[in-house]
Amino acid sequence: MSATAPAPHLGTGTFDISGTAPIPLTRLVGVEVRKLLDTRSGRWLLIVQAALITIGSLVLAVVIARNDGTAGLFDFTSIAGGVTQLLLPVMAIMAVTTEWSQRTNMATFTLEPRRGRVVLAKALAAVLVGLAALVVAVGIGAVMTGVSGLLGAETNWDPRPEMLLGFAVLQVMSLLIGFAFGTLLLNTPAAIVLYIAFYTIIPGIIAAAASLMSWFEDVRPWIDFNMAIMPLSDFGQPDSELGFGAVEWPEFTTSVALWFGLPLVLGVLRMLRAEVK
Amino acid sequence: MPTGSIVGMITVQGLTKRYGGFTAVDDVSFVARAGQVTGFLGPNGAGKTTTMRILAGLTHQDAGVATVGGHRIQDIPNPGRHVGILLDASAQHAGRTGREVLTLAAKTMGLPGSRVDEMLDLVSLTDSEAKRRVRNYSLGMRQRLGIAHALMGDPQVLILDEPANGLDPAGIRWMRGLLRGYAERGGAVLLSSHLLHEVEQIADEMLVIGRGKIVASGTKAELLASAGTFVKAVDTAALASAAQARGFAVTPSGEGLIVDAEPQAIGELALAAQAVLLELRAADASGLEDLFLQLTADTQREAAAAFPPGSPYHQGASA
Repeated sequence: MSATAPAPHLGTGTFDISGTAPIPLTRLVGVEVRKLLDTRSGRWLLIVQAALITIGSLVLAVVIARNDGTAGLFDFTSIAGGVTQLLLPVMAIMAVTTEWSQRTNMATFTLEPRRGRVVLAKALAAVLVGLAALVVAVGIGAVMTGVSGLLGAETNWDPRPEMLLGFAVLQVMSLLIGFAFGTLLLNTPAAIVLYIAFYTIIPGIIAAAASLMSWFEDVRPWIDFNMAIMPLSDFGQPDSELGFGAVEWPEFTTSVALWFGLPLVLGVLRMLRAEVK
Repeated sequence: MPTGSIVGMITVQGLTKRYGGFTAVDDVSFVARAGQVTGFLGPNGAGKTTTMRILAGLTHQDAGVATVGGHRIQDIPNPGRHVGILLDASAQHAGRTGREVLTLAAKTMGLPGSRVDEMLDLVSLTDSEAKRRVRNYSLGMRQRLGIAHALMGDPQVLILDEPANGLDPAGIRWMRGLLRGYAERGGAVLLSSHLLHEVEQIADEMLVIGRGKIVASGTKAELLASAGTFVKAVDTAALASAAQARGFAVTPSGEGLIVDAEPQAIGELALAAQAVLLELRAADASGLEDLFLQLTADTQREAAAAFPPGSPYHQGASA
């Protein structure tokens, strides 16, 4: 029942910090990864994703086999993508917002007062966990392609590295947009609602506005993230013309700047200044 | 204790924090020394927590300097290894176990997992309690967990906001021993409370804060000296008028008086007035409490001044 004696630095009113190493970023990232997995909500978010992908893929495998179709790996990754594009950003949002709702940021920011490093570590941790989830999702897709074959469907195993890379880029971009919304709002439900609106409603509004206002038709490609990233999301077919070559990079850059860069910059500024209570 | 230990380990100079038109911390200056427990005492909303949050780097001040060990906390690499901070024991993820909370801190600071067990042991959280989620912890258990969290990095300075809150009497005694031992080994402790009796038994020095300003500071004896002398006589009223005739301020206190003078001066006064004394002593804990309430009276929400010091209603003003 006794604490280790603190090193006596008596007589000066200061202590020597020259021998103390700063916390390496790798260690902060490790801690943030652990925080994503050590609560029920964090774990269930990943389990639910795996379950939804498995069930959806199984249904697809059966449907393809019944209709004597061809099952391709890309069919299953697009099922997985529908799930992960919604739920991985939710994970990224919660990586930021639960610290504010549970007020654990008091401990986090006193152990590392350079808040910018904490934000960076959280983003990297969310990307790492997101990438691991995508590996699992593609693995489930591969298994389900095999299952379709066993059920009598023709299978197309051509994995096309460019397709998988495009899939990963789309997913990680979506995750980072969620993360940026989280830093901007610092509130779990609000950030999730904003992301769901971004994912479901906003593309429709943009499309409708473009069809109603001709001037907006010209603006749209520069601000429509879904349009900019579409060549990466929809090039499953082996003979597709889509892919990285079809991406309009200037438009891609401006829409990413609008939906990721802007909320992230505003959010990080807010987090750096915010009073932590 | 080496004399060299009497040095400010926490230094606050001209600290000011405003929220709109409200000044929560108003030009506050003090030091908390190595080898001592410094009690930070004041009613709710007096500015204790805001001052501590500024020291912890969680709130940015409008003016002034707050340093720990001569450094702003933002400039200390791996600050958990130098400064242990507990600002709110309830600010932990309800879904994490106590052990997990400490493990995250140990990993952040780069400490081995064995340190977690040492700290759990130190604060007497059992293995099964450590495996429970913080949601199911009592406030006292959360305080113990928070103290373990603060001591994890073997810091030279401890900053604790209302650490006795929620502890049972045995827990308060335990914490007193822990912090006393920590200070005797050379650590500096700044500990806040709104309850005088929690602080007066443990603190070497006290800072009294009210409405954002330091209204008194010093050792208990120094503060008591200014609290006056309690005196009771067979004819208390006669003694009171004699003291008043000498120009001493007199306040009724129970069956006696608190006179703003040294005991010796009152003894001489009683001799001259031929008054028979029944009691004569430095105003004690209740005197300290009166003093505390006086010092912060105009800063209380309740109209403390409406009740004379010593009246049974007076205590209610500290609630």
